[in-house]
Amino acid sequence: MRFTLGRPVFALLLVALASGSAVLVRPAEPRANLVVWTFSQAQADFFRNSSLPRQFENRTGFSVGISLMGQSGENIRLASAFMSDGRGAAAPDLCEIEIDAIGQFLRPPIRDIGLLPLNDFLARSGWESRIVASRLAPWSKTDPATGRQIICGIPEDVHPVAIAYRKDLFEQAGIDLAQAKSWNEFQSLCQRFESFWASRGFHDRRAIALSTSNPDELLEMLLQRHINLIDSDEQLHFTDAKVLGTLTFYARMIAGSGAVAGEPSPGVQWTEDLEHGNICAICAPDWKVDDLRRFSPDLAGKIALMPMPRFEPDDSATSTLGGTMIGICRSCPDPERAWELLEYLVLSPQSHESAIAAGDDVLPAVSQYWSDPAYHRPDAFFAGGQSADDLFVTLAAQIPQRVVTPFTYQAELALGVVLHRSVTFLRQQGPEGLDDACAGWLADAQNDIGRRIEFGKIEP
Amino acid sequence: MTRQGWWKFQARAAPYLFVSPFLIIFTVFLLYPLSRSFYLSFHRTVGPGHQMFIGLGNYRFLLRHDLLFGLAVLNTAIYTVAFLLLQIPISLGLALLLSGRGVRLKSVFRFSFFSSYLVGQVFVGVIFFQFFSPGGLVNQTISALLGRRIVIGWLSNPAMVLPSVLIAGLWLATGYGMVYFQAALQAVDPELYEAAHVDGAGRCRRFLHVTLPGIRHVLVYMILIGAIGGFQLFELPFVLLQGAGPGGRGITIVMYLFIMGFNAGDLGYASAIGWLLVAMLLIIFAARLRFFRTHQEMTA
Repeated sequence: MRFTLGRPVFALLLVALASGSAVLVRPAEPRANLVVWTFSQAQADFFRNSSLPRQFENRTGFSVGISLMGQSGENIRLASAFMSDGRGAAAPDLCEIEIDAIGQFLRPPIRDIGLLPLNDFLARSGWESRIVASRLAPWSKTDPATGRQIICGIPEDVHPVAIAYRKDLFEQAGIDLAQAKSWNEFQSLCQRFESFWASRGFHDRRAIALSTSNPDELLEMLLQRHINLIDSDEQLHFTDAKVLGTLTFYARMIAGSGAVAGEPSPGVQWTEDLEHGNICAICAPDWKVDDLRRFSPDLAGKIALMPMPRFEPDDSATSTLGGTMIGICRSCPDPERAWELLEYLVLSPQSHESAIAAGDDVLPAVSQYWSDPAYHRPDAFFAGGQSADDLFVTLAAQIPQRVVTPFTYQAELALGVVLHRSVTFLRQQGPEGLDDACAGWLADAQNDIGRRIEFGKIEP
Repeated sequence: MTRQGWWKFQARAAPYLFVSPFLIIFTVFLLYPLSRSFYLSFHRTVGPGHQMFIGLGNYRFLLRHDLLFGLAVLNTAIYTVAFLLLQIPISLGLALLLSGRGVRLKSVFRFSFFSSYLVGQVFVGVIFFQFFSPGGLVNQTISALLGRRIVIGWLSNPAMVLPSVLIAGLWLATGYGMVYFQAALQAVDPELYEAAHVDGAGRCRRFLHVTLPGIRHVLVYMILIGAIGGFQLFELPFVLLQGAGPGGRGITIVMYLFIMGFNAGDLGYASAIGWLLVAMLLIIFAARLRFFRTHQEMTA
């Protein structure tokens, strides 16, 4: 028999048929009874290496599947699953979401949010009173009808922020940085520090890392002053006097005659800045301290931690940066069982013990575990064996409430633009007129975000 | 069915069968999403149950009120113009160099210059993120040359953001342009050069009056492709700057589209940004057509 299109095409057709049949015939991997999506390699490793999922399976007979995927990929897949209302792509039963990404998922009216409200589960199980209350806020949305906070996720961490600094270098300059209780005192000590090292030829040695490329540290300072750019009632706070004061102080730390800050290196390369003594202090949440330990082991014995200085007495001595939650998807067919798994994986004493055994130093959101001796023992990595976790436990109790709304990401982008303009103004024109200029830019940013919120409203 | 009938059926159905894979894929993966996004661009979308028709509201807000969109358009336009002004001469220069008679190992050079294009924007973003870091290769090289420690904030200083993206973009695309120009140069009739030489034309004149007209079509094509690529820039700055960059200086139109779609969760607004981008590209295309027509009329 002849094939008119020739042998190569015939061969290609055969290959296509064979591979197509193989794909069709190949049995699909059976879906576990409960599927958890996570974006964190460390968390996936923890779940897989600990015996928690296996213990849960043995106890309940429900199989557990842990799926690791990139953070961006997970967010897009979740958004797609939630948008299709269960008719399209399959959603997992439980999912972990990072704090910067949660805003978009809280945008729909409460009945349409793809995550199941967990208030009843929390109240029934008694976990509500044991989880740090301020950490429930980022994963919550106010119900306009009742004014009640609807909780859509369980926080896995608190991430208090401290100042990590090169104690050895500050001591050589005759400065005890921990004595600084206010940011003004902190700046003065940093100026003395830089003068000392400049006179010994270290002209590029900067006292602290403050970024102009992103507003993370500025946001940390605002949070310690209990300011969220957008609060839970979607009120904007760009034009608050405290925002202006913090912004101009921050800009003066970076540029002008009182500058003491340098730009940290991107990614985790900031640890090298500290290691080489190019930058000698950094605002560090507990997870950044872990990075320091992991990527710069040579710093052992040279680093110390101190609480954040305050602007005013009623400011908090700490802030918070980053965070992850775990929630139950609305499409989950068995929410009761999913809650049981959630409790077992992230809230239970077994989960806490496994985390400690695995050497996880990140402070959990359940405050009763903070008394664990593991969080209070001396730590050889820090100067004088300072217990970093002990300090973080003390700070965690004062952690300010962080609110995330669907417009928070854009508000932070807008603040980043204002920050850049402020620093540029200070560098090019000096401090005269800075306050007025910043006030104008902040007002513009507030108007911009206000218009977006008004424009994006779906409900009357 | 008779044998003749079967053959007739085959003859009639074959064209449709042959084009059907393309048509099915085109409809499912391009036509439907395109029309759906056009439909969405007139809506405010929140979650599965809420889609509100707002007419031209998204477009109006984008053009009248959205400062970040304005910044994204400005950044993209500056990048595109700078990219074209540098990429075209460098690519053409490399192509001319490699077309010279005395050059040896032409294939090796050609492959070396072109190979950067094969790795893609994400890979280049990752590599240049390392190169441009404060302790990276670029700062180390500059420090070694100047004999003192120099730290240029390639990715953190707002003024350096676009140059950094531009350098990475040029490294990626120059070889690609060079290959096209080399092919175009080979197509120029050598007799024209000889005739020009006999007429006393020097190198410059030969380049202006023989080479450039000879490669005009490829030149215009490269400008068009470069402009479209510039306006669609996304992965490279997104990976290199890990987001919008300092002061939003690295935000591009497509990055803003991504942010509004997947960080703010407003697919209708993101679709409107996409269609405005299409409009901008159509304007560029129309300008190219007009330029070509005018040029042809002038030559005629």
